[in-house]
Amino acid sequence: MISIDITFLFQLFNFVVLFLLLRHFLFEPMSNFMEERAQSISNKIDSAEQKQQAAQEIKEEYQQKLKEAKIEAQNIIEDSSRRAERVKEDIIIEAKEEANRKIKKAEEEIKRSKQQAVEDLKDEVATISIQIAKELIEQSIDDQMQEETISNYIEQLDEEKLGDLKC
Amino acid sequence: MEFAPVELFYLPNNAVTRLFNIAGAPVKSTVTTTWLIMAALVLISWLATKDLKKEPEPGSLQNIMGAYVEAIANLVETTMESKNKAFVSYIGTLTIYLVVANLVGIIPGRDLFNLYTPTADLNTTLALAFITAINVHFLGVKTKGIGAYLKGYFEPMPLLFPINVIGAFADPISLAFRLFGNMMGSVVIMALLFGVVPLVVPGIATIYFDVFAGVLQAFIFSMLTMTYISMEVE
Repeated sequence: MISIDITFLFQLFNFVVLFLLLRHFLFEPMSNFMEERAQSISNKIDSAEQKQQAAQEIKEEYQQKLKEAKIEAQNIIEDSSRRAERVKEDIIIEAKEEANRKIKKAEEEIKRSKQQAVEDLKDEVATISIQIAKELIEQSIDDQMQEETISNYIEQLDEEKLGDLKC
Repeated sequence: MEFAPVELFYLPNNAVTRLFNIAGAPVKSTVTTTWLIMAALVLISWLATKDLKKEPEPGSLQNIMGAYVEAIANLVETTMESKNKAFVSYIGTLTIYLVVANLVGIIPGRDLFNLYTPTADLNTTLALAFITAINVHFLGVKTKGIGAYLKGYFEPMPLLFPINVIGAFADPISLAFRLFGNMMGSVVIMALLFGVVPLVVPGIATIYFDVFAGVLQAFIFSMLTMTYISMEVE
């Protein structure tokens, strides 16, 4: 029942052969395969983490930019409203000045027109007076002349027509 | 019922066998059964790894053998604190061979095919223990260096040198005899039970003596091998 014989060597050899065969057919391909799989999974996890980190960075960057843009927009709005305020004030001041200038100008115009009118009136009055005087003088001369003319004509008539009449 | 392997045939007297001085040596059923187990294991391994898929179907051969390799790798890592692939291959081969060899006893009609539980033959268990011992001492010399390795036999004091030498031999011998005794015991008890009550009772007993004890002893052998090696390597 218990004997040590050549079977010992056979079994020794058998086990070594089995070890080499299983190592070649089972353990090495299987563990290499599993390592590769684990490697690829960990690579995927790594790359996913990297992508997530990159996305996070981009997100933060965009948030920062958004914040900056908001601040800038706020600044622009404030700036432009300030400028508009200033422009408005400028316009009002200018308009007031313009109005004043125009009023002044109009007043001067009126003054000048009044003076002119007075002068014109003076001239007119003088002219009319002269005219009247002239006419009065002319009229007095005319009456005399008319009488003379009429009497001249009548005299001519007497001389010419009456002479020819075959009365 | 035979309690010992039978001599099936003798090696032919040719050039190869003469070269190794084994011409005419008897080939026992232990060896032929081991060949069958080897053939079956190699076939299963080849089928499992011939077309490795990224997503193996649950229950497929690749899945089962992959889980086995992973379990052995984890066991080696926790017990030996090593990720050495050679250890994984060695312990994995040892465990799967021992489990299958220990379960030969439950194959019906094993006597017809001259199947004999290889581990119920001292030659097999001694051969395996011998390989373990070679590993232990070779790795001991390799990791510590020959001086430190030899110095280990004179520690903790030189007086204990003979005890240490006996210990070095006791480990593999106890390993071999433990497995052999358990499996031989199972074979004998099952044969006796079959003789006394051929029905029902042997069926229940076989679950313990053949299946449970077989798997347990295979596990113990592998665990002890790992322990001896890691003790020597540390």
